[in-house]
Amino acid sequence: MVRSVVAKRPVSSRILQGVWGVLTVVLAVAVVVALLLFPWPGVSAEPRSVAVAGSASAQQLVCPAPILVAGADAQDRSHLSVLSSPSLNGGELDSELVPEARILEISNVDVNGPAVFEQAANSGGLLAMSAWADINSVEARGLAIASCAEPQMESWLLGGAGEVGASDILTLANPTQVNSVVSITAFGLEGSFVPVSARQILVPAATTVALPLSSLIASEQRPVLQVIAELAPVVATVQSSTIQGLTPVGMEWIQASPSPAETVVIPGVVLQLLEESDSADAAVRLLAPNDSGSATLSLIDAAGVQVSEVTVPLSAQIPVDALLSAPGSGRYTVVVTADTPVLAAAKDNWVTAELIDYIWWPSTPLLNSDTAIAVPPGASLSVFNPDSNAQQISVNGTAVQLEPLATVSFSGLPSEPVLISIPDAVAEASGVYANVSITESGRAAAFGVRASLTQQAELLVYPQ
Amino acid sequence: MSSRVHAIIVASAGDSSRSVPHLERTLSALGAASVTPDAVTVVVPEGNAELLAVVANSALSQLNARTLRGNFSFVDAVQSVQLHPEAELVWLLSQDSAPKRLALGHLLRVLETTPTVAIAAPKLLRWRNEHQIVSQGVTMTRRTYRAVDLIRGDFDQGQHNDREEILGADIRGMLVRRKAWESIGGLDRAFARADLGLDLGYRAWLGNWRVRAVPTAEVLTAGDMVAGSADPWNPVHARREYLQQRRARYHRMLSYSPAGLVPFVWLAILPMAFWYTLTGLLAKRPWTISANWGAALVSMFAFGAVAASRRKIAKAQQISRTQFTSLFADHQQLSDALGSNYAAISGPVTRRSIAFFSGGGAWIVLALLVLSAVLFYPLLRWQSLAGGGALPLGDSALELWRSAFFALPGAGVAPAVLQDPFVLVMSVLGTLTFWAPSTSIILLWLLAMPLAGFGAWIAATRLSDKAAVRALVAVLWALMPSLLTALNEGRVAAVIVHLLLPWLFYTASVALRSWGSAAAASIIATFIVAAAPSLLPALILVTLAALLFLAITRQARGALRVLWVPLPAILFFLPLAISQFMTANPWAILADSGPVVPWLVADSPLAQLWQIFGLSSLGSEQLFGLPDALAWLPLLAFAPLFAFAGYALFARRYVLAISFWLVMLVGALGTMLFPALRLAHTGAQTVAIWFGPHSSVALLGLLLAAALAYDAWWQRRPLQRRTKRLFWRNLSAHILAGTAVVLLAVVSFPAMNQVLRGEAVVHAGTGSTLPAYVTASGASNPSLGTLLIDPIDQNTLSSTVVWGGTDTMISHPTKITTELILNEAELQQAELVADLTRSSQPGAIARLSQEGIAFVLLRNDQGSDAASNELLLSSASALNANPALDAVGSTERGQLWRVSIPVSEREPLSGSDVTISRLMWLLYGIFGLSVLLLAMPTVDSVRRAQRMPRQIALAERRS
Repeated sequence: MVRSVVAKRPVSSRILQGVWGVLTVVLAVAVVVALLLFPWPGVSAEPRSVAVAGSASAQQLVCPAPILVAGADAQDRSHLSVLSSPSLNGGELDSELVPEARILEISNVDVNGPAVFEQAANSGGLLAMSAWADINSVEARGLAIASCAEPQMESWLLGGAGEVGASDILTLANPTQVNSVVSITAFGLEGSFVPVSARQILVPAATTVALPLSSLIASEQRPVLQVIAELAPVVATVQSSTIQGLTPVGMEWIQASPSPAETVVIPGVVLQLLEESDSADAAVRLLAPNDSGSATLSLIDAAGVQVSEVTVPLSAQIPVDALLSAPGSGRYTVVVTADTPVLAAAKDNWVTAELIDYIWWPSTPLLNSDTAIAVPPGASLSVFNPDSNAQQISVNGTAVQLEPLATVSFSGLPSEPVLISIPDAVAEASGVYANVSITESGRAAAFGVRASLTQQAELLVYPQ
Repeated sequence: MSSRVHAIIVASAGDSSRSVPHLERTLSALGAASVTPDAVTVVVPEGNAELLAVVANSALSQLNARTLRGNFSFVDAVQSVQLHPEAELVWLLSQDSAPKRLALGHLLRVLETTPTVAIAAPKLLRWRNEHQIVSQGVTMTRRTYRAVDLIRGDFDQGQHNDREEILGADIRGMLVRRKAWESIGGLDRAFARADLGLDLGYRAWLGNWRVRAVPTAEVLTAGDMVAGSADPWNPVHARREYLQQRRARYHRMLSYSPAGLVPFVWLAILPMAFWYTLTGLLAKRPWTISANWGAALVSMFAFGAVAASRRKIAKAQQISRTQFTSLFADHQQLSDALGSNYAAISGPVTRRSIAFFSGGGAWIVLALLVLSAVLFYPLLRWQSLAGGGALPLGDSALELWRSAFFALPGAGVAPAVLQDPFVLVMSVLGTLTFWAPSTSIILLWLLAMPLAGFGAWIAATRLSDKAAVRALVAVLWALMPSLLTALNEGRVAAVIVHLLLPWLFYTASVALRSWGSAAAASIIATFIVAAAPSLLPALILVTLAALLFLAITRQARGALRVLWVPLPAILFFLPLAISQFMTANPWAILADSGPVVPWLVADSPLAQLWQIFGLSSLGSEQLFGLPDALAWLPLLAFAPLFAFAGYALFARRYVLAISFWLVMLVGALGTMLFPALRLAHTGAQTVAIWFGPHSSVALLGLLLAAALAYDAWWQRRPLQRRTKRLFWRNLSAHILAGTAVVLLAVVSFPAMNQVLRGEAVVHAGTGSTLPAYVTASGASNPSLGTLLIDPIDQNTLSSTVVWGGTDTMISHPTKITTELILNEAELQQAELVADLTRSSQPGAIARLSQEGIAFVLLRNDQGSDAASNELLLSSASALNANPALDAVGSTERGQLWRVSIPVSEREPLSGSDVTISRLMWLLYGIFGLSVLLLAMPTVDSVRRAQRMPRQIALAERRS
């Protein structure tokens, strides 16, 4: 310490102080700048997690309800009656056992409803069932096929219409032992709305509720429905049929789509070149339920070559139909990539000679584990490889090489459940998209293949 | 003169620079006396040529020297001397007791004229100051045998000369009648040095002799610690003597008490030692603790010495001590003796009033209170603080204290773990509003700005006595972005650190000179480090730097006090540190305590600069509406402070300025280095150490350096010498200071009103993090848990269990949040959660109920992206379908289910865990109480402080 008076302080001590001061500033600045510019090695502890399989739950499959028609009763035009019950096939994979069905009553129609197949947890094999209905009457005409589905808390339904001539019926099947309360949000030209009659629909345990779609969405041309179940999951299906004038022009079951995503795939779409036109067209219905954005639709042919591409602007919550054109007939896959999560499904009119039927091609979820499906008689299975690498899978025990972006069809499959076996995914993107379809003269129908909910990947849990 | 006197002078080896001249003076004083002893024996250590030379050179006749081997005591020395056969009187002297010319004459006269007097004791005066009395008679309390100096340290004006009969006296200079000496058995070696004269006098009285003070006989003593009590003006001697005094006291109690009482006295010694430990701490004499317990234990087991002393007394005793009761200390004498410490605290009161009210401090705090009330007025209606790192504190302050040290975690299924010292901070905070602990956090938020201003104002008094300098520091500290960021983001620990840092500076800066300040600083440091463990390295670093500085400048005194400052903090972290080392996770000691809150770590140099200055981790666009290219602009607000701080390096007190710069550097490094440590995790996220506390440290260094410069820049001069140049100089200082305030206010403004605009992370809480339904059922029972499930994406979820009515600030010990591997209970929980969300079998619920989990809450905090939504929905469906769960329904915090089968309670702490908890409570309780006592101000410590300047580094300032 310097002990002289300021004015008389020796020059040397003042210089010393100056040196110290400059050194301090230089040190501080140098150290800070050095640390700012050069990365400092850190320590990062991994969060603790464990992958657990969890015990398997019972598998429940709900098949579509019988074909219902309204207006058969002259006294009560809104009364629903059963036109025909669907045929079923399938069963337990690798087993001769034919599972027993339980019939769910349709509470508000007072007729027998859909069949439910159950398999206790840990009983081994996979259960797969499908249904088909081939109708040719004055009330309805056409072919519908569907897979028997597992109940879900949230279902998105793309398809159907509330306009004149359409007689679409929404069925909500609750196979569980717990009452379910269902709320429906509809998306139409005016955006989303909750129909008055669709708030808090009670679906009692082990029953089905059937509702004419026109009572929910009036004359909406391109409706999309979001069905949210509380307390217990349900299977929501739209039975869609249309009459032009007095002629029924087609019928279809519309099942739940996968949840909105930025990439949506509609595999195995069969397009046909009509006589009077020079392109094979299909309309793709798109909805961005959250935010506005744009979607690019690519049409890829069976060999994996992209044949057309369309970019469609999307307004939030307003469904739009976009036209896709192919240069010729054939099997294609539609890949939708968007900058916001979207839903998509393709609709096509299937016209052969005098006969007409329409078909909804649904988008399907990525399959990345072994999946069992039941294929209705005469139907074919289409598998699309979304990867830019070839993938090896096996269908019904036969190994198949899938070229990049190729769509492969399999027909003549047995009526027993078929296993699509996918080897353990090597890369993240691996997996396939698949659907089942029938496109015959005047009869066309399709459904998407999804993995069983009970056969999910391991759950990664971060416990604390 | 007929009586023959044999003088015994004991010299010690000790410091020859003292012993040689002292012995020379003593011998020459004897030679120059009016009456010289007939025989003089000097006892010197064997082989000590210097002392022997002194004896040899002495002109005194009848002088002989006796050498003794080894380290002998005064009693040894006296007993080794063969008394002259004709000696009738023994004069006990030490090397440093130089009698005045007439001393022996006066003493002799008393003994010769009064045959019943056995001992005549002179008045002992100070060696270098003959007007001050070292000792003039000693007595003791009647029942507790506490030695009491009749007169000690007073100025000698003859005012005490009327006292004649005394119980005892200092051994030095005592003239003892040989007959009595032999009948009462001479000196008792059980009393090593202290209280030898008291014991001798007491036995003389019991032997029906009398002891007389002879004030006219004056002996000068230097306090060489050869015999007698220490120099009252020398604190080092007082320390050394303490052990002797305590031993003598306990020994007296055991030897003087009636035989029947001895067992009880023996039992009372340990409680007494405990009591004196407390009072020693309160008196800021921590060194007494070891001496106290040492003396107690030695005395308790010195059975032989006690027996010998009791035999000596029994042999000497002729009369009952009731016959000389009046000589024992009365109440007045005792209180006089206790108050005589004043003598040691002398000198003028140099400290001026702190002028908190007249200096404008009160107005600033009031203004900040008003500002805070305006900015945070929505908080007045909030029940608790939520959002960011703010969680409730639970229902009971007692529960908080109970969770200190070792307890079951309030969240999660892990077994009992070591708690963070942070729990203590929260316990103290929660106790402030013990009826509703969570309210204390609301109060903390409302009062944060005024409290910051208050603390900083007080801290500034260490640097300047100018009101404006103090005001600058107070206002700037309350407006610092690091505080406002912490308030907006719910960082309770960072707020506490910001409020305590000025107090740490205020106390630690004077730790060197007082134990009270050192202890207070150590408590504050413990709280700061408990709130932000990543400051522990900074605390240790700064302490080491201070010690290094002391070593370089060769200041040994007070180094122990400086060393003490970080010690309690280190001790409180020790068990946790050991435990983390044992699990090979040493970095985790530094992890933030309390709830783990993810935040965006700076990824660019500019963003890191922002963090140094405590600016939010929000981007510049969000905070200021500035594009990224202009994000450097807010940093300019600190330019005036840097101008000041830079000036400080070249002004007076520059050593202090350099140290502030180093503190700033330490803080800045902290903000850059510690966020690279991602130690804690919550759910699937790893969370970095929060930069806020380090930023506060850096800003404190900057602010204090600036205050130093402002104080130096602005110069006061007498009116007549006011010059134009000085006017401009001072004006520029004030303008710079004003600019600093305005710019900082501008930069802090967006952060300041975030709560008001409802844009802050913190928001109103309901007092619980769980749905009201659970709170209603679980509030009274902390043994019931709620399983929380958070879907993260399609196949990923995190889960935890919250016990009782709410998640709290103390439910997340770092021992769990930084744990690297899952324990058995957590693995089981993971499987349980997978079962619950994937299937609807009631078996999983049975396991839940056994663990004490009564509710399941499925949360949707991760946003509603489709992937997590899918898992959310499927989990909800599985839970709904579970027959052993009753759906309570949707709540504001998620979907809730209640376990419908009977639920057993959570397993309580095991017996050994309870023992660990209690043991830690006991040890830390004693330690904490000791530090508190040490820090508590007393009359003495306040008097001492008033004699020292409030500001620091004044010597440097005068230079």
